[in-house]
Amino acid sequence: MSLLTVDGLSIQTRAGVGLVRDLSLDVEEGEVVGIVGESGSGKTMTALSLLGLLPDGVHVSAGTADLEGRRFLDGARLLERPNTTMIFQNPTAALNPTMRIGAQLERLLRFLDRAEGRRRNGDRRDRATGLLASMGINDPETVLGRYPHQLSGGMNQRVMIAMAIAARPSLLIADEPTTGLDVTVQAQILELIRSTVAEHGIGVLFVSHDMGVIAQMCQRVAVMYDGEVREFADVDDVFHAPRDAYTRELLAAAGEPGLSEEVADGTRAG
Amino acid sequence: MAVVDASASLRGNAVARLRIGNPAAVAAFVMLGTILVLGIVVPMVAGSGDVAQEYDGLLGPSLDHPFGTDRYGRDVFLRCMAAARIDIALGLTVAIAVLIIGSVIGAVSATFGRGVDAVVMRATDILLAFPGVVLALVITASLGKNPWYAAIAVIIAFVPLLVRLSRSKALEVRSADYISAARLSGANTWQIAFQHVLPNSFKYPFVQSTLVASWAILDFAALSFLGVGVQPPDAEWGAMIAEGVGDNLLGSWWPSFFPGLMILLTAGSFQVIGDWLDRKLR
Amino acid sequence: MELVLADIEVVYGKRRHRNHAVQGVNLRVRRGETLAVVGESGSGKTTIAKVAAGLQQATAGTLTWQPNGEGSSDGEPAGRQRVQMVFQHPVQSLDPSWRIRRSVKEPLRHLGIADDEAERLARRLITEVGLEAEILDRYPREVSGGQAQRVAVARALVSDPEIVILDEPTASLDQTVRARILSLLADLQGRTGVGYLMITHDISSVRRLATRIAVMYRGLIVESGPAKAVLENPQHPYTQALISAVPVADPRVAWQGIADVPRNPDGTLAVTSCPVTGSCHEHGPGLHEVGPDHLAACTRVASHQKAATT
Repeated sequence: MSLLTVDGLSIQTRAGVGLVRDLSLDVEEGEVVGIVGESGSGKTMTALSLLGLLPDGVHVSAGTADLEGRRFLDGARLLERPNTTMIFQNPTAALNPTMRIGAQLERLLRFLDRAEGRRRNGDRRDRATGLLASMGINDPETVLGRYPHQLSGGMNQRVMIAMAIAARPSLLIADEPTTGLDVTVQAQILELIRSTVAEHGIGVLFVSHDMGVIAQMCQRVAVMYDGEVREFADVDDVFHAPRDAYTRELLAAAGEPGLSEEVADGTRAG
Repeated sequence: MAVVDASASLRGNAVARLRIGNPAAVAAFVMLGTILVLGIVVPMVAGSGDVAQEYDGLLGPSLDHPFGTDRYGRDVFLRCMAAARIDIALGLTVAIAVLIIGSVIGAVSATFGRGVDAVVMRATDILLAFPGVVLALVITASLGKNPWYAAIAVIIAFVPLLVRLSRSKALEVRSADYISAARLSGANTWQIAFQHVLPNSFKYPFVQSTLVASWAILDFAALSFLGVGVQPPDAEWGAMIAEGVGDNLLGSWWPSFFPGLMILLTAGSFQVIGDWLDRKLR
Repeated sequence: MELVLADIEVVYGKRRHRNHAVQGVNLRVRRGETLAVVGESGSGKTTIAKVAAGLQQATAGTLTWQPNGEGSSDGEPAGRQRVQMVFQHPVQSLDPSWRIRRSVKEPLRHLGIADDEAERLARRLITEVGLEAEILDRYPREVSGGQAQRVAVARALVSDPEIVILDEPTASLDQTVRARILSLLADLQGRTGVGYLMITHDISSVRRLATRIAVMYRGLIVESGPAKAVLENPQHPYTQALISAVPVADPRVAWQGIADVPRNPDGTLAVTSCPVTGSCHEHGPGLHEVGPDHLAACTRVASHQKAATT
């Protein structure tokens, strides 16, 4: 049985414009499934819809989603919040700018404790420290006392991953978590995601536009274009035996830039 | 030139969206339009009510005199309509003057930065330290009791507000890449201020200026009420309220009430239009 | 003619809070060639771009135009119109209240070129960048990112500059669009002979366009040389880290990232505490020659060479 099953997901705006059409995919336990596409492909909307985070004016018009066998999304209704957490693209912006990191982590732990009916007040600080240390942060006490804007993007992303893992999710959704970070920092964060996922056995839905990241992080890949899944296959097949023309175009752009298209056709997308 | 360009681009971009969707805004436009039209037509047809029509003063509202008469027997309705011209014209004039002066100073100040900006900021600080009416009062006291001077005083009182607003928008604009591109194209700082910064930071001051129109009417009415704006026997809403204060105490409410109502409706309409514009231009 | 940046230093702040954004940088940009300046955030590469464009003053050092070859001291100070720039965010680099036509013609207006001639040139450039002439009538918000970047390139080239500075020109564009823009830039360089100073963090665009590469780290150049040499045989550990940090778009390649590179407590690369020599960055080892025209700031390399020659 798959960890996550999405079937026939369609997302529309209030005006009836289709952002995602009939999307189906699944994620196994411990597997990283990638969604790759360019801007406007609908990949971010897909991720947001699974957590009920679609913006105003955008809604799920059809489709279902199950987590660990339990249906949590049916059409426009989110039946229950799935045991899923998400990490976002701009980590510094995703954290509360008015609270220190320690305060945010402790508040999260308090919320999680309460949800599980526990009342362990005393050791939250220690747990927060431990969480940060497990994210490869060498000086957790200092970081706990800082505000997000005082830390680098890479550090904030580690904090966000820590927060996402603290909730002990079955599924993690990562929406372009390393876009905008320096390339060396990206390498470290990707490595962190890899090791964390392996250690906790979580399934991951990894959204990205970067073919290199997708190739190295995912076992299976869904290629999206203009709201549709063009191809959903093992990563090796997608990269070495692509069946869809758009997949080939993406590969060409990632491998040898400039080989795929003639320059003169500027009236098409770009 | 630059200001014409600015409103041209504003029109060009906004015309398509300028369909009035909001019932409150429609009501406001209708109200303002009605007052304006009446203010022009009624005095032409029936005179400005300067001449006392009744021997007895203080007649209540009736069919002959819809707003009643004041203590001198003058028809309040006619005088209100005559005053409409002055007050609305004033509101619009002040708003336009403040908009042009304020947005230009704000854009230039932000574009040149450093020394120029510091001077402008300190100047606006000083002017903003005084409440609007007090400042206007001080200026008219030194210039003289004249509606024109009162208008100038109100303009001076409101310009710093728009300079601040325009400058803050202009500072945002100034850090954009197209400003750097303009510099590389050979534009000097004046050209950048008027051709790039001003048109792109004009939207918010423009919206604010409708609110300025409404506040200007209130301030001008206050000045005339205090006796430093329009002088009797000319009709102006604020002055009319002042004249009717004494009668109010004796039970005749209409000489003060109706001018006050006019102020409320006119200033209020400007405010509603300002809100509508704000939403439209977002 | 080449644009020469000599001993450029840019320092912010005073006394105790000085921030050396750029230190002792020497670069040359030649017509017909592309110099790629590669670095991460805080490397000073964006500052270099602004200084080269004349948009920012360096606190020390000179910016001159010189005839090709070794610099002679009677070069003229660099004027502004010989250098143009293409920015990272295409739509934001065009005035939103201006029609595209006006933006493209702006450099020509300031050069005093007559309007009908300017119109002709604008149309020609728009066609050369692969767009239809009718786009001139549109506003920037009505076109896509890729189209806007082509417009920006047209505007940059319309006044026939010697050098165009490309500041992360494809960073905010989609993958497929990126590829086409890079092709366009290469094509235009071939046709017009313009020189590019390209600021980037994206290795793939470097491979495509660069003749020479300079790698910057915290305000210093740590390696420079012909593109092929630097990419295939990087000498400085930071360059090596930069190259190996890019995930390879092939699942069959086992990518290790930079797991082996030593790091500081805050997670940044410990370029400054090299396992061999300790903190060499602060002592500024200077650039040593490691190959034909290939320089690297690494004392390890220097001592290796010394050993080889003794």
